Amino acid sequence: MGGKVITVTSGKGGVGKTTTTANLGVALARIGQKVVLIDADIGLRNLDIVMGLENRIVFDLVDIVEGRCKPRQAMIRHKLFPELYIIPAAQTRDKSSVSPADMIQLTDILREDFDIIMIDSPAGIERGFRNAVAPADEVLIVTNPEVSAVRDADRVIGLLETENKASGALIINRLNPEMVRRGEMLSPEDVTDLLAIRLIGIVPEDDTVVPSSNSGVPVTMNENSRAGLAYRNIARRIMGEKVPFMQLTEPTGFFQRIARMFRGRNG
Amino acid sequence: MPEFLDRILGRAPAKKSSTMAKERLQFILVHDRINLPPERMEAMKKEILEVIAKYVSVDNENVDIALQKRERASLLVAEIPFLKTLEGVEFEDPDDKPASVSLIVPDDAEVEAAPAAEAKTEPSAKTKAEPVEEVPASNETPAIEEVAKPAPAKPASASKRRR
Repeated sequence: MGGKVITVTSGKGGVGKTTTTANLGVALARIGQKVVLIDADIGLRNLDIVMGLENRIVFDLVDIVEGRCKPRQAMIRHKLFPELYIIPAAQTRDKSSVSPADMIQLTDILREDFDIIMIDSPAGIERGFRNAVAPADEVLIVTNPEVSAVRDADRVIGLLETENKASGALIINRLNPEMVRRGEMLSPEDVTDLLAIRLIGIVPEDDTVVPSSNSGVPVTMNENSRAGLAYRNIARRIMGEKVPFMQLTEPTGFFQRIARMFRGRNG
Repeated sequence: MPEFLDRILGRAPAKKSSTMAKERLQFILVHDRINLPPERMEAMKKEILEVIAKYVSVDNENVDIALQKRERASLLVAEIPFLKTLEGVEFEDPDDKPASVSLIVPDDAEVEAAPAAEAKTEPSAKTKAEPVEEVPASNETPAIEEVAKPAPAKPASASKRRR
């Protein structure tokens, strides 16, 4: 059967699904996997711009499904990784242009040529979500340590459970360790406690993420970024490696505390 | 440094917002998962207690019915203590009369009418019984004969039922 289909979803919008998909795609390609990323958010195409590939789109997902092109023709190869491709979403159509059966059919073709097929799900729990999870062997649920995002994640996990979808794993994105320390943000333990699902990664809030998206170079390529390291760790865990969770608490020695006082709360 | 100030002044520190987030989510998620909003849950609790009260008398003050979660499963955990009345033991205090009995009794008015003309009082009983429930009085007539004897304290039984 070949490659594995991994869907990235969240319920709530804006928690970082597309950023996660882009970064995991790059991180997996860096460790030698043949990867294709599918943007399933039809009508709100985004993955291409985060990856810096928006100028090279000729065909899209709906063109494949409606038979106007072969899957290969719609794939855009990444500039730096010859084994990393994306299939962009259609921008002028809506979610009903694709069915769950279409997604299963397409991914079955892609499984022959790729190790990992990663699907970036749209927000919500309607048609677009159903399309994205239909072919999944594994589902990554992205959440933020906030009440609304956790609630929506729980809803998605519940839906996947009732459909007997194979193993789900949780990514806690945009965790601010300093706020957790002050008791102003749910900790990773709180979130996993509430959602009762396997944790596969914690991505700290990081000032390098937005500039990376700005320039279309996923933060995983930045060796000095903690978020980038977190994504690389998740990629290794996806490959079955046991990677310990990174130390998130900042140094709290005397001088660091003084320094932080001078830098102010946002330091 | 508000925590530090709290400690110096011996104040209890304000509840952390992360703790509030977790507590609120614990409550919301358990209701979300079974698709039962809190108001419906209250209605269900009430109904469960009514059913149980038909058979045994419930210590309503100390009832505890709540949703719990165990991993990703939700369960309804109920602690329903009974009043100390054993089967076969006479009730000395009329107030301890099990709620089940008072639930079957159609109404005080009918009980009063019963000794006079047991079998043929249905029409008159109906007219007298103002607060009768939806239960049709005619169906319950056999019950009247049995219950009428050990029920001297009518106001007590009536008020009990309305709980």
